[in-house]
Formats: sequence, C-alpha cells, structure tokens
Amino acid sequence: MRKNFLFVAILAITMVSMVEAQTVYFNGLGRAIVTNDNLKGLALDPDSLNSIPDTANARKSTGGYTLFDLGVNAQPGENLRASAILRVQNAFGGFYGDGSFLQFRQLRLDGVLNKVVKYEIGDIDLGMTPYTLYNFSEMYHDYEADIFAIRRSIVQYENFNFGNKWRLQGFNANTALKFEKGIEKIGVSAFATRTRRTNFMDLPDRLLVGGQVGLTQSKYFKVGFNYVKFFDVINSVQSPVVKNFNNEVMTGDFRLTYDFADKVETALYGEVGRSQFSYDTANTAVANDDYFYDLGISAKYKPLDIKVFASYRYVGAYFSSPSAQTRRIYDFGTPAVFPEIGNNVSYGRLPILYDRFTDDNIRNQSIQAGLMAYLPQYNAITPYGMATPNRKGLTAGISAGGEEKIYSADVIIDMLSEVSGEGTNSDNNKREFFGAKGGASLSLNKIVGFEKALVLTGGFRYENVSRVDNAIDFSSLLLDAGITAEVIKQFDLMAGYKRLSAKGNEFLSVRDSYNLIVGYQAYQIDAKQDILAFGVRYRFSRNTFFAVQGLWVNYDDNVAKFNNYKINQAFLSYTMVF
Amino acid sequence: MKPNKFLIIRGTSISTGFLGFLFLTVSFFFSACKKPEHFVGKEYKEASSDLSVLYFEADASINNGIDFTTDSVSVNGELSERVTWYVTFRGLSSGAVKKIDGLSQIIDPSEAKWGGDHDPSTLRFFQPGEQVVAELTFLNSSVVRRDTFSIKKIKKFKGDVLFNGFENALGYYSWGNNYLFFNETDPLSNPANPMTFVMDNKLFVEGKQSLSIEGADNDNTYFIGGARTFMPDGGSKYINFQSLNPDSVYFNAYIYGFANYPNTRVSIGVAEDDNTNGIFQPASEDVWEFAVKINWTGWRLVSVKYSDFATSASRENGGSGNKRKELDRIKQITFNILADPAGNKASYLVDFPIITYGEPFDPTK
Repeated sequence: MRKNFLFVAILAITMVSMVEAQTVYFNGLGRAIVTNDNLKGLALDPDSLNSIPDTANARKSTGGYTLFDLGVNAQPGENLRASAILRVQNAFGGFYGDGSFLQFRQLRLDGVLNKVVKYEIGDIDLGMTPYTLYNFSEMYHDYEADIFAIRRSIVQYENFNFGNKWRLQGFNANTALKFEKGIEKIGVSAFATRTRRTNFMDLPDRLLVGGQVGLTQSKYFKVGFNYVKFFDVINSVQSPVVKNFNNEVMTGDFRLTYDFADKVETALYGEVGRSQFSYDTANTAVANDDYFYDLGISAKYKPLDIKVFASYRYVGAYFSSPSAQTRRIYDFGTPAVFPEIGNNVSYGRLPILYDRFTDDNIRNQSIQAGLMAYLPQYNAITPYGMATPNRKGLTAGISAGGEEKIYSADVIIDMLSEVSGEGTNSDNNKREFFGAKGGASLSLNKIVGFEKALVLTGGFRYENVSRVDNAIDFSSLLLDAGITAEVIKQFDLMAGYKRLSAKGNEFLSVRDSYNLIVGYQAYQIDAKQDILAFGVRYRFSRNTFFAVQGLWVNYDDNVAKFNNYKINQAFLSYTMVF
Repeated sequence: MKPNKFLIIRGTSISTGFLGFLFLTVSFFFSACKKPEHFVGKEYKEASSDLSVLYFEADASINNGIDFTTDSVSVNGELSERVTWYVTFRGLSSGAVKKIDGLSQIIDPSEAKWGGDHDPSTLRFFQPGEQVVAELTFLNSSVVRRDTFSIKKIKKFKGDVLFNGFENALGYYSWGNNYLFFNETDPLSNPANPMTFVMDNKLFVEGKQSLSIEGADNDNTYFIGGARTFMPDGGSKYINFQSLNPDSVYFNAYIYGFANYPNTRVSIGVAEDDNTNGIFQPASEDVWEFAVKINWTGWRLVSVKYSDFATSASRENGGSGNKRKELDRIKQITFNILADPAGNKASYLVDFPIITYGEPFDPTK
C-alpha cells in the first residue's frame, strides 16, 4: 500500500513538472458567414438603353462559409515559443464536410536569445516608416459606420492587414542596448524575408531585407536610421530572359518634443531619405535614383486634447520604395460577387466601393516591384500612400478628443502638386492636388449619461486634381455616416451610409516593367455609388458577436446609364474570438 | 548664462559632434540629388475638339500585298494639329496586333514604319495572306481613320525555325543550307506509355496550327515520349547552327499549358553524335536536356541557352557521352513530354520553335 502511494505520488509530481516545464495554450477564431446577393439594374434590363440585354449572367447568388482558426502555442521554455494557426474551412454547398479544406494559416517560432535578442522566424508582421516598409490603408475610412467596419475587419483579418504591417515570410530580430547616462537606449532590428519564390525557369528568388537603428536620447529626442533592400537573387535561375531587380531605400528620421508648462506638447519631426533602383536584363539596364523629405511640426494643448499639425513633404518623381508604395487593393481586380455584367464576357465588373471593404479576392498580399495601376476616384492624390512619388506640398490639420473620450474629430488638408509634369512639356504642366478629409465620432451616451452606448459617426473626404495643359479636372467626394445604438444590453441597432461621387477626367499612366511611363490612358467618369446598410448585432463579449445586415448598393453611371446596377445583400455573421 | 532650453535636455547637452553627424548624414542624402526634370514620362498631347485628319494612308504602294521579307509598311499622314496619335495594325484572321505611336502634326513615313512584328502582349503572329486594318486614333478623341491592305509574306524573324513551325509538318523542311526531317507518324515513344501527337488548328500562336502532345505515364518512369526532328542516319550530315558557342545559341518555343493537366513537364532534348560516325547512339553518346514543369495556363514563350542544358539523367539514353556540348554534331532535337509527378497524364501544345543566336527570341525585332 505504501509502495503504491509512493508510485502514484512520484507519477503525479512528474506530470506536474512536465506540464510546468512546457506550457501549451490555445487561441483562435471561429466564424460563420452567409450572404445572399441580388443583382438588378439597367445593365441587365432588356428594356434598357443597352441594346443587348444581359442574358448570360446570374441575378442572384448565395455564398458563405464556416471556418475555424485554431492557434496552438507551445512554450517549452521561457525563451522559445512555437505557434501555429490551423484553419479548417468549409464553404457552404459542401455536404457533410465535402469541400472542406485544412491548411496552416500561420507558422511562427519566436523567442529570446541570451535574454538579449528577440527573434521571430516564419510568418511575421513587419512595418517601419511610411517611406520604407508600410502597408498603407486602401482608402480613407476613419469615421465609417460600425456596420461597415464589421465587414472591413473580416477582410483585413483574412488578408493579414494588422495595422500598417506587411505579412511576410522570413526572419526578424531586434535588441535594445540601454545606457545609464547620455543616451537612454539604442534599438537595433534587422529582417530578411522572401517575397517571391523562384519558378526555376525565368523568375529568380526575390528578397526583402532591411533594418532599423533607433537612438532614443530621452523622451525629448529620438533619431533613427532605416534601410530596406528589395532585390532579385542573381543566379537563382539560369535564364537569358531573367530581369535582375534591385531597389534600395535609406532614410533617417527624427523627433524632438518639448512640453511648455506641462500644458502644450510640441514636436518637431521628420524623415529624409533616398532610393536607388536598377533593373537589368540581357539587353537593357535601367537605373534611377531620387530622394524625399518630410518635415513637420505639431502642438497639442493637453487640457483640451486639441492638436494642430503641419508638414511639408517633397517626394521625387523617381523615388522608388516598393515596400511602402504597394497597394492593398487591385483596383482592376475581379470581384467575387457578380464578376461579370453584360453579354460581352470581356466586360468584367470592376470592383466598386462596396467590394473594397467586403471582398477578399481583390486584395493584394504581396509587395510589388512596380507601381500598381489605380482608379482615381478611390485615391487620386496619394494612390501609393505617403511615399507616392512626384508629390510636394503642405499637409495641415487639427484633431481633438480620442478613442476613449466623448468625442474624437479631425480635419486634414492636403495642398500638393507634382514635382515634375507627367508627359506634358509646357509651363503649366504640373498637376495640382487639393484634398480635405475629416470627421467626428460622438458618444452621445457619455454626454447625456446613458449606460448604453449611442454613438454617431460622420466623415468626409474631398479630392480635386487639376492641370492646365493637357487639361485635367477631376474631383471626388466620399461621405460617411453611421449610428450604433445599444437598445438593450449588448444588443445594438446599427445603420450606415456611404456615398462616393466622382466626376471629371484624368490621364492614367501606363508603366512598363521598369516603372517608366510609356503611355497614357484617357479616363473619364461621372458616377456615384451609394451604400445604405441596416443591421443588428448581439455582442456575447467584446470579440464575440452575431450580426445581421442588409445592404443596398447602387452604382450610377451618369454618362453610360446602361452600366447602372444595384446589388442588394443580406449578410449574417457569427464571429467568436477566444 | 542661462542655458538654451532647446539644446539642454535633462541636464545634458547635445554634443556638437552629434549635430555634426546629423548634418553630414542629411548632406549625404542630398549630395548626389539631381534637379528634378521639367517633365517625366513619355510626352503626349491630347486632341482638341477641332482635330481633323487631313490625310492618312498605310503605304499607297502596296497593291498585291506587303512582302515583309523585303519591305515594311510606311504610314503617311497629316493632321490639323500637333497631337499624340496611335496607329494600330490588326490582323483580321490572326487577331495579331501591332501598335505604333507618335507625337507630331505630320506622320512621317520615314519614321512611322512597321516591319511585320507584333506586340508580345497579344502573342499572335500575323499570317500570310490575311487582311490587316491600320487604324489611326488619338488620345482622348473619338476621331478614327482606317486603311486596309493584305500581307503577301510575313516577316522572317532572325533565327532558324524548327519543325517548320508545325505548319507543314510531314516530311522534309528547309533548315539553313540543309533539310531536316519530321515524321509525325514516327514519334519518340516509350512503348509502355500511350502517347498521341496531332496538329491543333484551334490553339496556335503562329501560322495556323500548333503541335499537341498528350500521353500517360503508365509505367511510372516519368518519360512518356516526344516529337523529334532529325538528320537521317549515315553520312556526315548534322543539324547546322549559325554559331557553335553554347552561350550564344538559344532554344525558344511557345508552350501552352492546360489547367487540367497540372502534372506536365516539357523537355527539349538535343542528341549529339559524339564520335561523328553519322549515327546517334543513345547508350554511349550525349543527349542534353532542358526540362521545365508547366505551372502556367495558356501560352508562354520559353527561352533557354544551350549552355544551360543538362546531361540526360538516363545512362542508357544519352547520359553516357563525352559530356561536352558540341553544336557541330547535332543529330536530333526533340520535344519530350513527361509526367511530374510520375504516373500521371500530361499534355501540352508547342508552336513556333526557333533557334536564335546571341539573344533570346524577341517578337518585336
């Protein structure tokens, strides 16, 4: 009896020790989505202005899926963690799991070397400055309604759009050296990733490597150095037609802050840098280099939480930074819902505002060597983010409040112009850009003292592009409005409205594989898009909810009315995060 | 003296050395910066609403059709203003397209010429005997003018076309100063694996047909078979090339991949008569191969230098030669079909195989 007791005790102690030495914990996400779409409009109507009615394409579609992302995290010691996210997904229409698939959505090892260097290997999220490595937002939506934000968050999750970082595969390491006097710390980080695998024929391996050195002198002064190199690995293929691409960006940034009487926080900040680009084939070599600078100043009055800021930037026409200039969305992609309209099957439906925050298919997850084509109604002034080449001018704004406050609001004005005219050799050859955007979010419940949430949001974005010679006159206006009302505990009524109108003409640049402009496409538009949505949401917890929405989408082309169409959608979603 | 607030931070001063470092760093960034250009990109000018075409013609001297082996099409025109113009040549049978553009008021025939090549983006080659429409258009204008003519003979691209481009596949065809043989009833085949090859007149890039090769790797050996062109045995006749330098000789072909045949590998095999006895002996002589897994759908131009070919993996079939690339003793050139992974069906099309010298095939030249 005594021996049995000892055996059980030792066994129990051993098992407890094993568990404590190796911790395994789980997290994950489960989601179910059902959509039902209905297509209408003059584009289909036999009595429309279009003499050939659409008899080829469906008017209704139903779709959806259930998925479960299980995150397994194993921490065998305090210095190492291995994590994986395993996805099981079943599209609706599959029966008893038919059509299900299993895939690894994420694999990562991370840890600490010698308590000094943190590292990550595998699927990692990386970001630096807006001019070096940055995944900029596809379109202004700071004050869009919650009902649309739910849809956008799904698309962002599916495409690994976590903040402004790029999801890459490779290695990242960082460390910080702390000092006792003079300098607070120096942070060093470096990464190496592969963005394209060779096809062993005519496409070499393409790598993105880089790093940062940041010096924090104190809370008043910081300076940093950033470097990114995006290049093809020469000789990873033996092919006479291979093009060897190489792009390097080096920048320095700084920030000086100072508080006046503990009430006014001022800051002087900026970034300056240059890029070098070369692209060689057997017969051709193209090389360009250029520079940029972006200097700003801000002042924040702390008691009222009001901040004013202004900056001036110059980005040269040949400034090339693919990891900062790559777009998240293919403006000329093929949407998943009703991809074609019209009997002419070569006329695919271009993605509209509705597709941009609901459709996974048109999202881009990889860094592109060249500047991607874009449509100006969605972003005419900075289609490639802050690092958009060939821009100079002033940006200024004012903001107040914050996320946890009763209100938050801001207005930002852009007054920019081109550095060099595009294709136009005359005195009035530069485009002028004017942009204004802003909005407000108001938690009415906090003002009137309600327990339940009542939030109003409203935003706008206006853009205008003009040029005298080879005349351009293009403007677009985006409006956002929304309301979320918690009518009973954890149960919200939601409504939202979006409107995008665009009118005018532009000339879209056609670029070759060397990023040089080789032609132009005249572009004309006079169209508006409206999205109206109503829905309800029951929140089981902060990240677990069930939502039902109805959306009414309208596309009106004022010039070619036979292109007009409507999409009505019913959308159900259950999301669980644990 | 009261310290300057902006330079004294937490009781320490920013050293002048550090400021000097910052100054040098910033100076470095701007040191080699050039003055921005007045404009970037290709210059263009859009048409005004008053634009008119005073005259437009695609070579009035063409009566019986243009012979691109000796001549080129010249475009002649006069406009009411200096404007960006485009002339698009479109083959009405082939669908091939060639676009030229300019910025001028006079379309100068000495500069606006077309030598019979095509835009690579459309893949298709122009065909002999087909009608071509030359269409004059302008940036941001609906003004259009057209002229038509026919092609008597298509452009002869630099290089030597193998298999006669699969247009007249059976029997002998000219090759430089020689004649090569291609017998579609005598393929190179693995007896265990069924293989068919036929001419396909629905999917092609050049001419009116391509070669379709299809088979199944029933014996799990990867190799299914191939189509070969060769010099007959005996004598001292070899497939002659314009260069004997393996770094200068390029094998090019358009390969079509099918989405429903994802396990297809194509290889180009070149058999050498190492001992120059007039006969290729597979057990003791070289076969040099270049193989590529077809991981695309549609047509794709594949180009490879002879120096990048690898020795055959089979010791019994071309893997036991002298291991030297000798272009002066080539007996056979083969398009093979393999399964990858083994044991699968495979299929692809091949069109316009051409040997070029000095550079890969460029359809714009």
